[in-house]
Amino acid sequence: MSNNLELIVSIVSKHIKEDIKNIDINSKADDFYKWDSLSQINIILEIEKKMSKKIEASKISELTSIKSILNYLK
Amino acid sequence: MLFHNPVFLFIFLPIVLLLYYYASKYSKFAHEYFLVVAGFFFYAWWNIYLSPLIIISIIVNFYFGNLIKNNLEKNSKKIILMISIFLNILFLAIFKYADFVIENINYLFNVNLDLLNLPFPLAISFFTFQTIAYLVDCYNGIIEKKTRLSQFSLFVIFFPQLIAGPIVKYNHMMAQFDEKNNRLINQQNFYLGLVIILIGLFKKVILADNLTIFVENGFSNSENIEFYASWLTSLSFTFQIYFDFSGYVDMATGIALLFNIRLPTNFNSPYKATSIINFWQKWHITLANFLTNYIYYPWVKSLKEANFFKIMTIIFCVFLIAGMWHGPSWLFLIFGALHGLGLITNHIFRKLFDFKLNKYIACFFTFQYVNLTFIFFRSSSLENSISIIKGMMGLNGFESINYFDDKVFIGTILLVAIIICYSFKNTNYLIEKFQLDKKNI
Repeated sequence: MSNNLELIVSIVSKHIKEDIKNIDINSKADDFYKWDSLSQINIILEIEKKMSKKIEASKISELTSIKSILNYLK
Repeated sequence: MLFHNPVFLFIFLPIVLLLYYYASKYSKFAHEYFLVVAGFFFYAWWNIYLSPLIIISIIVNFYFGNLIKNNLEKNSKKIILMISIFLNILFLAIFKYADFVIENINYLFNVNLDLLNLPFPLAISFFTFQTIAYLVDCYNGIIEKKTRLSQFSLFVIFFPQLIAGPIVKYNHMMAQFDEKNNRLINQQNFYLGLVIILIGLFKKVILADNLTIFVENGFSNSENIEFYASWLTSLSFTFQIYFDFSGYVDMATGIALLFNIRLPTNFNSPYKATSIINFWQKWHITLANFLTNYIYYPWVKSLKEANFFKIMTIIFCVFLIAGMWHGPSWLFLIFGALHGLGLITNHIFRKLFDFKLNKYIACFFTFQYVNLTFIFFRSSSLENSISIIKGMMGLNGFESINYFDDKVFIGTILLVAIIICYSFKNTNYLIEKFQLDKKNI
């Protein structure tokens, strides 16, 4: 879980260009203006690549917080 | 029958409300059947001869939805989904775009094919998109429960959101219709609903309808329109379309609240947006969500290797679709293209630069761009748009306004519209606050 958390936070941080220190388990898309639909799709594509897990297109709009991504990957 | 029509407000709505709450007491599904009948009546009021079209659409799509849900084999499920989406788009294309295609073929190939002159079924774009979303959700297993025909009919034909949206999702609506407590009168929802209806009426009748007179005057006298008149015309339309559409959606939201149904937010102070990306997070939100979830994400996901250029191309195509969704005209396509280009520029800016413009400056530039795109949205021809834009650039001179008889009146309406847009909280805030306050009591 904590490994996943670190990985997700680092991916999100990279795509929304936000310092990793400002992102935690409670962070969500609404908190960052750069977490838009482009960042969202890039985050999902990178998670898929890094974790070798396919995420359904229909789920993408629901995975807009660190918590929801972690729960989905459980 | 429009919401601000006295027949709707003082006869149809009170009767439906009374019978709805009365019927709900006596039978488990009476509320559903009753709202479906009310929806058909509401739709048929506009044109009884075209109302069978929505019935056919409901029955066919209900059948397809069940076929998709009951089919265990993924490939055949996919084929059924593709056929059903194709038929829905064909249905929309025939009634909405056939003459547009024929006109363009006639122009391009110098032929003289007869136009079909088919009547345009009310709300066809809204209920087609909503139905496609339903079918895709059935395919993705998001809608698992067995659906009754009355449930699906209600989802399509619930009259508060039938004509002008918002585009709703099946699970969101059915969860509320199935909730027993929602079938009892809730005084707080009722009063809140009435307030929201009044706000919507004010936006539509007082602001939008008065600005319409000014807008029509300006756009129909656009030849050599001078500086001040062209700016007032374009600004008036930008505020008119917002107050017209959001006022209508407010009325829909308020009416739905009378039935204890909460519709999704469709506008969230869009003219306070600080970028075009932000604008589409605040303007016609349910359409933007539909395009994002059902076209943009699946399209990007279908790429073998996604890169920035490919994603930007997809965004542009999605906005062309958004533009054409508004109607069969090249000007709507230009409107969509301009927003697509605006979004791409915005994404490039975010990719290359790491600074944020001052909020007020960003808001000012975003509004100016949106104002420019709405000229194409409203114009009757490309020449019409270009005249207005030339006027705004001062190329037609700076003489005083002579098209408009009552400048003080229209100036006041425009000023009130601007003050409301920028100084007031929106209806969505009111609903949230009211419901939070209710919880705190």
